[in-house]
Amino acid sequence: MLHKFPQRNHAVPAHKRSADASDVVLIGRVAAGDMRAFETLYRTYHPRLDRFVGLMTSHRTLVEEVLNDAMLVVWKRSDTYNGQSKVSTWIFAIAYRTALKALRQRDEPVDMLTDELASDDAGPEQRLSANQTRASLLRALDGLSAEQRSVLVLTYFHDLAYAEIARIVDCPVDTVKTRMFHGRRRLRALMCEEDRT
Amino acid sequence: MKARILPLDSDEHRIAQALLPWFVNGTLGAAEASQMTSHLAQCGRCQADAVAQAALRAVVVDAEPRGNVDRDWTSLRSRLDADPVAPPRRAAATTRPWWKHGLQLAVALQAGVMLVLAFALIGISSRTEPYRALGAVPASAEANALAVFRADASEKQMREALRAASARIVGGPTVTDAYLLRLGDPGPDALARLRAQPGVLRVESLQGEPGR
Repeated sequence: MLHKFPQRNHAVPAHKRSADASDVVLIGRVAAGDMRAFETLYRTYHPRLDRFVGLMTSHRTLVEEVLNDAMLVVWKRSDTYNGQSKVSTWIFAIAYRTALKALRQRDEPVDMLTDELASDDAGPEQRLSANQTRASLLRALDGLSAEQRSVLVLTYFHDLAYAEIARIVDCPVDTVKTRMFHGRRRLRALMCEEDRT
Repeated sequence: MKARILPLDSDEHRIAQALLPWFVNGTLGAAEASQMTSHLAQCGRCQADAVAQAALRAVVVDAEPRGNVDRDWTSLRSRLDADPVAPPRRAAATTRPWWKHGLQLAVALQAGVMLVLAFALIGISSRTEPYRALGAVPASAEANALAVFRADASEKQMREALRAASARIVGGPTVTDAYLLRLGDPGPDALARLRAQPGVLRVESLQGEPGR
């Protein structure tokens, strides 16, 4: 039987439209120096950026540093947002560049997230299995280049379309597909190695 | 339905493999999604691959973010408070038409002339004490601490907090809602007293605080 996968309704859902619109209003207020608007934007994007940067590097102090550095750029450069892309794409692009810069500057040992907990709804065995898979996945992601990793993370864990990812990482769509292809192959190989050891 | 065996180097299979991750996350356009559905119905390998990718995705998507938004926000606010020249350039200022700048300049010039005339009249009518605005702050009253009050702090709580530390407000609120304070004695004890007040969210010394 063919597995069911989520397929996008091509009319943009109302809740998504309103989120995009409220982001635009917020970024306008941030550009006018409204700190409360900036706090709202920060709190809205914190979980998403935390997940994105947290999968780019598993070093927690670096995640917090990159996240706040990126949001500081959002605060300082909000007047340069020109509405040509979604606010989320613009913010993720800033976070991506900030993360790449930080990863290139630092070469610290990585502490793995083996203590991660899966959803509390799952039973203990399922949780253990999900935790093991997750830990294995995170170790394997560390074996990819930052460019490949970002494409995989934005696709699988942020549900972004390839065109939007191309705008975030500032490269052609075909490059995104190529990075995904090679990244997936490498990820599979690394996870198989993990299973054998 | 029995899966048809497709050569793995066929164009159809290569295209499907390239698009598969975005089929799994549900972001393909209608034409590509339909193309993928047809291919998956025939290709057991891509079907298995898609199921594996969906399972991998689920283990991360279901996990909660690990960061602490309150702690991270406080940390960023401290950085912004420490660098009060950080706020963005006003977007409105860059898009305002030239004639509005001209109008603003004319109004400012007019106000300036009126002010000069007013001072001249005051000088003529009473040559006694020099004029001093009620809010004028002596030059010596430089800020030596910075405080952020809770959003729900009452005016009474703010006053009591200032009294407890013998402090007074000499500037602010800044864009981050921080107030610049002048403490009679900006030592650790006074700062600690101020921090302990119920209406106070955060206090930072502007002269460096030993042991912090």
